[in-house]
Amino acid sequence: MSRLSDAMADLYAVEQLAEKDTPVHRMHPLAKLLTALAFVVAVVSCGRYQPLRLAPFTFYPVLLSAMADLPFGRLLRRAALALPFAVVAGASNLFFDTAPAAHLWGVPVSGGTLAFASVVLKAYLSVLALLILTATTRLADLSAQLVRLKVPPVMVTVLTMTYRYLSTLMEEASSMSAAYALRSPYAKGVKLAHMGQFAGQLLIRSADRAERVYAAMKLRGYAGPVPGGRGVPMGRKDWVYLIGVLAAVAAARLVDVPSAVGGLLGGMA
Amino acid sequence: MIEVKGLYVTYPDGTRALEGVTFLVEEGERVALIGANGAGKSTLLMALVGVCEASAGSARVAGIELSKKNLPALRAHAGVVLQNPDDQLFCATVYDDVAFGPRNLGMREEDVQTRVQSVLAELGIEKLQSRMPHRLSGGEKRVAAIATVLSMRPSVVLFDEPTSFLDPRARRQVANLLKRLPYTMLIATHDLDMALEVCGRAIVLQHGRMLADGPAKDILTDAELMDGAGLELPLGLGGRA
Repeated sequence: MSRLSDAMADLYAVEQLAEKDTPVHRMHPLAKLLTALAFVVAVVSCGRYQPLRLAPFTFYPVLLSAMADLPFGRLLRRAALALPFAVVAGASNLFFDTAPAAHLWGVPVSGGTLAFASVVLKAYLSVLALLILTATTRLADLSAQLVRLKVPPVMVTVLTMTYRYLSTLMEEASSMSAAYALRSPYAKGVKLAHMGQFAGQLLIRSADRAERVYAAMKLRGYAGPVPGGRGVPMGRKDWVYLIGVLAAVAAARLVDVPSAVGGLLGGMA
Repeated sequence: MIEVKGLYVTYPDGTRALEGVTFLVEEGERVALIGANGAGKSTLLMALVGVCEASAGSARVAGIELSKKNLPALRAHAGVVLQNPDDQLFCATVYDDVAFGPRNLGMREEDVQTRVQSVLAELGIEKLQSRMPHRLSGGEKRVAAIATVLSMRPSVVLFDEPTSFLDPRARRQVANLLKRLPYTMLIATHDLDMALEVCGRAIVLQHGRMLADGPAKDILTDAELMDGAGLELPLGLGGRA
């Protein structure tokens, strides 16, 4: 099952990226988490008929990935995985909101088209920002900051363990799939008729593992989520980064940059 | 010290996994628990820490009587290293995994840090502390799993197949580690060469019953006894490869 292997390789690649040593990677995880969240909130809160207002926000992923030495092309492709969901979510606008809402070079554009473009762009930019966050910050550091932000420890534990066992589950599925392929050399992937058995086996194995992991936790005194982790306070550079990025995001959100630039160019002409 | 008297474990389907097991492991002793698949080795280890419920008999581990109300105290003093390190290493980093037990014991974060660093240094795996457990090699995972138990400073350590799935070099590393750790140990294993090298004594289980208990050298060289238990002589003693 090469798709599974590809997914595992992708997961590993993002983990490897988070191990890099660049100015962005060295920034405090709380500063990166807060700026990424602020970016997402600002992007999502832009007007539904104003996709152009999202243009200034593209500088955030571009600059950040350049500073963090990230493979921007690969990140763009990874973020595109979210597009089908956004397209499905936004497609209804195309059919129900057909009244012209703007003119582009004299051509009337329906409100639905603008709203559709807006939904797709917002989803893409948000996923890209979060992808850059995970490619510049290790999961352990992010989890510790979530606890610090008073996210219930049980949720953080679930998040951490889901991620921890995702690759183990994928490895298990990959071995099962290899065993299947070796005994059905002419089949392309797992046949639909066997899919139920395959998924059932995976579920049973996961349940068994969950039981063993829980036993291992209890044997080491687990009696509920444990807040903990090594907390390092933010330094001066981190504060400067946090305030700087928040100010830039706020400016991009509050100031209609595309109209201002358009007006400026029009005035010059 | 581990004291077991007439211990019985019956599974919900009625299978008798252990039948009247009785033995005593003295402080500082390293004892191998050997037997064919399904002999009851893992069940015995799990019963000693209350993961499997004993239907009759009694046990005392590190001076604590095995009972429901004593389980937290018992588990704080008796560490268990599970067969599959992936079951034991569930945190985002090795550091957090090793710190998991001490944090659950209610230790202050500064003390946790000191404890974790000392255990990592003791096992020579300081450089692994920031690594994600699922990205470690088999041998590294195994040593990290042992560290997660030793960080609780147990009096007794129970090992379930500590050398399974390891390549020769990692197996050697784990065997050397077991030899140098100053703990009372009960080691369930199929690795008879390792048992002979590490343990002074061996207990043989067969179908949930004790077949033999004595010096490892005597037991593991007794071809008739080993054959009767569904085992073979260690390869180092001319067992079949």
